[in-house]
Order: sequence, then C-alpha cells, then structure tokens
Amino acid sequence: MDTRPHRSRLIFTALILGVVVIGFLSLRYGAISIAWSEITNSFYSLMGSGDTLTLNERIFLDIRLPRAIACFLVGGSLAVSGVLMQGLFRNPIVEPGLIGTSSGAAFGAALYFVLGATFRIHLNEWTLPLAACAGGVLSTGLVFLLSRSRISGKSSVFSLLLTGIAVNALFLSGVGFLSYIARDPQARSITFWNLGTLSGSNWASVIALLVSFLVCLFWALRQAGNLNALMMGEDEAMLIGVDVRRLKRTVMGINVILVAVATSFTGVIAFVGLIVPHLLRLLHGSDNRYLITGSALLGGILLSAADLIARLTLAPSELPIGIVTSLVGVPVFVVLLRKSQYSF
Amino acid sequence: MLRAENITVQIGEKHLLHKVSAEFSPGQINLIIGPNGAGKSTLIRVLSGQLHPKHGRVVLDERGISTLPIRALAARRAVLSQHIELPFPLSAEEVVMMGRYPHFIGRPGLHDVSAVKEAMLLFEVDHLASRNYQTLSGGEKQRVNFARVLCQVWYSSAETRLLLLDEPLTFLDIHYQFQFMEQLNQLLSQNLVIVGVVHDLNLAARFGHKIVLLKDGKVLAHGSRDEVLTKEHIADAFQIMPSVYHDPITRQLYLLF
Repeated sequence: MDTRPHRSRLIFTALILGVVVIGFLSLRYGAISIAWSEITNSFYSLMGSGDTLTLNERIFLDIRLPRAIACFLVGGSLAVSGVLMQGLFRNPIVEPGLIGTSSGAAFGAALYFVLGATFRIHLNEWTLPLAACAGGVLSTGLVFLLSRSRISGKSSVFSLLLTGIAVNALFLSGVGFLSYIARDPQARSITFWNLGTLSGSNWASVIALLVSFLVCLFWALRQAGNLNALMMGEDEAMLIGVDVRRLKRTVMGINVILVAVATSFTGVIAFVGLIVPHLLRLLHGSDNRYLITGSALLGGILLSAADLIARLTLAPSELPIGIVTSLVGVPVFVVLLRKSQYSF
Repeated sequence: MLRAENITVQIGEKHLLHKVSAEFSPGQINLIIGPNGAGKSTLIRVLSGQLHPKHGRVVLDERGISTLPIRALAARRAVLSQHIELPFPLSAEEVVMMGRYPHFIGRPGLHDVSAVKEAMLLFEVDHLASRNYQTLSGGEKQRVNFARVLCQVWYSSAETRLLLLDEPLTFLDIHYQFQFMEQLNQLLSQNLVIVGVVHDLNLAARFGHKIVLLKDGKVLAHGSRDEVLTKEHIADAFQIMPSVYHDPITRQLYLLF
C-alpha cells in the first residue's frame, strides 16, 4: 500500500525521465557518435519511407539500438531478481547469484569455450547462451534439491543459503579448472565472459530478453504482496494466508529465468542486483510492489549508464561492463549507506 | 465454538501436550495460564493450525481446521505472536494492512483501508501510520501488531472467527495492559472466539471469563475463574501457596503471594 503517493509519483517520474535521457545518450554516443538526423533517418527507413541506409545508420539499427535495449533489459532483470532474492531470504545482503544461477551459467559458458574449441562442435550464435542458460538452471536445481530436508521435504531458507554457497564454490572451481586447462584464447574468452559484455547483442537476444523480462516482471508483481508478508517471517506469513512453500518455489523459478537468460547473453555482471534494491529502499521504503517496478527501471538505467562508460572510456575499444558496475557501484553504495540510515 | 479434542504433541519421547481437550466459546475471554514449559504456546500453535498434533484435532464450527486451505483459514483466524521484527523498513500502516491480505487480491479495497484506519485508531497507533516499523519501541510494535491481527478478523461473514493471543501483554506497561484487556472486552461478540496466554494471574482473575490451567502438558483445571484460581490449583501448578481474596464490594478475586 502506498502511504505517500506524492513521493512515489515523484520517484517514478524521475525514473521514467532517466530512462528517456539514458536511452538517448546510449543511442547517440559510443565508438562512433551517431547524429540525431541519422537516428531519425534510420527510423524513417524502417517504416519504408527513407533513403537507403548509410553506414552509420546501419550501425545504429543493427548494433547500437539492440545493444541499448538489451542492456536496459539485463539491468532491469538483474535488479528485479535482486529484490526477489532479498525478499525471499529476508536479508539485505543477498544478491541474485546466491542460489547458484550465475556461477552455473559461468560454468556452462566456460564448458562451451573449452569444448567448442577442442572438439570443433558446430556452433551458432545460440550455442553459448543455451550452454550458459542450461548451466544456470542445472546449478539452481542442484541447490534446490540438495537443500531439501530429508525429513520434511521442505527447503528452509537457511539451508538454501548454505547450499547455495557450497554449490557456487563448486561451480566456480569448475570454471577455474576449465580456464586452467584451456588454451590462451579460450581462457581469455572465459575471463571476459565472467566480467560481462554486451557487445554481442543482436535483435534475437533482445527478443529473448524482452520475453523473459516482461513475463517475469508480471509474475513477480503478483508475488509482491506475499513477499511483503514474508518480511514478518515464514510462520507469520502463513498465518496471514500465504502458502510459503509455493511462494518459495515460484520466486526461485522467476529468479532462475531472469538471471539465467540475462547472464546467458551478457556474462556475469556483478552488483546491479545488490545495489539497485538498496537505492530504492533508501528513497521510499520496502513495499515490494514499489521495489519491483522501480528496480525494473532503475536497474536498466544504471546498467545503461555503466555500458555507456564502458564504451566511452577506452573508445574505440571497450571495458568489460562488470568492471564498471563494481568500480562505480561500490563507492556510490558505501557513501549512500554511510550517509543515510534506512529511515523515513 | 472452538474445540480441542484429545490433543497430543510429542517431540521424541517428551509430551509437550498430552490428551488436552478444551472448549472455547465465543463472546467471552478465554485465557490459558500455567508455569513455564507447561505447553501454553504449543497449545496456541495447535489451535491456530500452525502445528499439527500427533493425535487429536482442532474443530472450528464442526469442521477440522486442518481441512481448511491456508488462505481461507487466515480470513477467519488471526494470531498475535511475540516479537515481530522486520528485516527491511516498512511503514506501520503497511504492516497493519498485512492483516487484510487474506481478504483482497491485488490492491486493497476501500473496505480494507477503513478497517486499517479503525484498528489503528482503536489501539492508538494512528499517529504512527507513516513511521518506519523498525524504529518503533517494543510497546508500539506490539500495539501495531494488535491492530494488524484485529483487522484480519474484524469484519467477516457470519462464520465464527478466531483471535489467538500468545502473551499479548509482554512489552506493555500497566496502562496499556489494562487498556488492551478492556478493548478485548469491547470486541466480544457472538462469532468471535478469543483465546489468550497470560502470565499475570491477577490479570487472568480480573479479565478471564474462562480459564485453562496447564501443567506439564496436561489440563490441570478448566472452568470459570473461581473454579480454576483456587489455592490448591495454584499451589499445585506453581509450587507457591497464594492467599485468595475477594473484594467485598465487586466480588473481584485477588491472589497474593
């Protein structure tokens, strides 16, 4: 329930404004700057009424635009997943990778890089995302199965947390082993992938990301009330009518899809899922309805900004985006935490 | 009518409750008393459907509560537990609104909003509505939770509703203790069963219409205050011999130790 509608209206107006601004900036700037006229021309030609495309216009349509959209969707997905995980574990230091999804995806990707090179498997643009996605689903499934109590068949949040840490360690050592046995170029690919990059974005990945993002967002919003109730603890949530077992399964399911799909196209991107929910809590409390919607927008804005920095610092080359998110995110986060206690 | 039939709860070899049977009627305050470890909280957990007993069953309006779905049960039964802490900031009003969760899907209706307002007024926490729950004092949190559980079972259909209170008076000063019990008195109605655990025997003597005295997981006495709060029962349960007085004018019962 919204106790101060003015404040939340203000926040959402600012967020939407942020989306527009960051959208324009990330379309305009990059390895090459694209003029407004070229951007508008490409849209006209899309609608079939413009001239033939220049090189810049083609770069805009085939590379810049899908990359900007993919970036926004990945940021939003990771941030929403952060809200869901923090809500499920009732713990503010939890992030999306906690239940094993991203380390499993990293393992799947590493396996692809090493095996693909060694056995010359026939590869297309979908092989890497599928390998990563499968790894993410596998590791999360493992966490869920191993954390079930043999007596009651239930997964307590506590055992989920511990199993998650163990399975993460397992898959990360698998990644380490694979990079160790890999030849140099493959080892480099693995390293880069673990730092995250959006340079491979195309329209196919945009569509996959968009579907996962929209479905999960809709689904997550339906769980928002129940997640609020869960703040009081599992017993209390049950007492006000929440089927906690089902809620846990649903939230983990949403989380696997969000993280596995986002990670599979871009690699592991740290910190967005942790920091965005916190920023929003500092602004306007912890109602999960507000947090989920807000994170979908703010996560996208922040990751787009990080991508812009990643593209501009070393232009025409680019930094891995994971480095930017951590490098910029950590100090901002620490300053915010020290300045204001959670209160309103 | 709420009925516990032959409830046995066991952990390993230890009986937390042993063949406990009791009836709790609407329109009066039912209190459970007994020494530490007597099984009071366990009995509340069984009555609320949180704990499934090894033997026996709990019957609400001739229907076993274990057969009711979680949400349907939540719309009829509220439990005030001890110590509720939140890991994240949330306004007191949002916490109270959680009591209405079993009654709406999506956004709260006008009905829900007004129930929250009234409950907060009743427990004098309306001025805390937009405060962060985490920053409230123990007593304020307790009163916010009263408001929450109250609006959970306040308006409902003609079905019998159930309000269970596990040591509701902890954290409250004597003013709010009395005020809370007076307010319970005003809530009495023909389709609300109230069952509470209290420690203070004189509060039980003053406000409890029916009292269950538990000891070692068994019912030692069950009945009106005059029947239960006798020298012999108290001495047996607590190993302390009280003096029992009756106020000459009000006939109010007092225990002195």
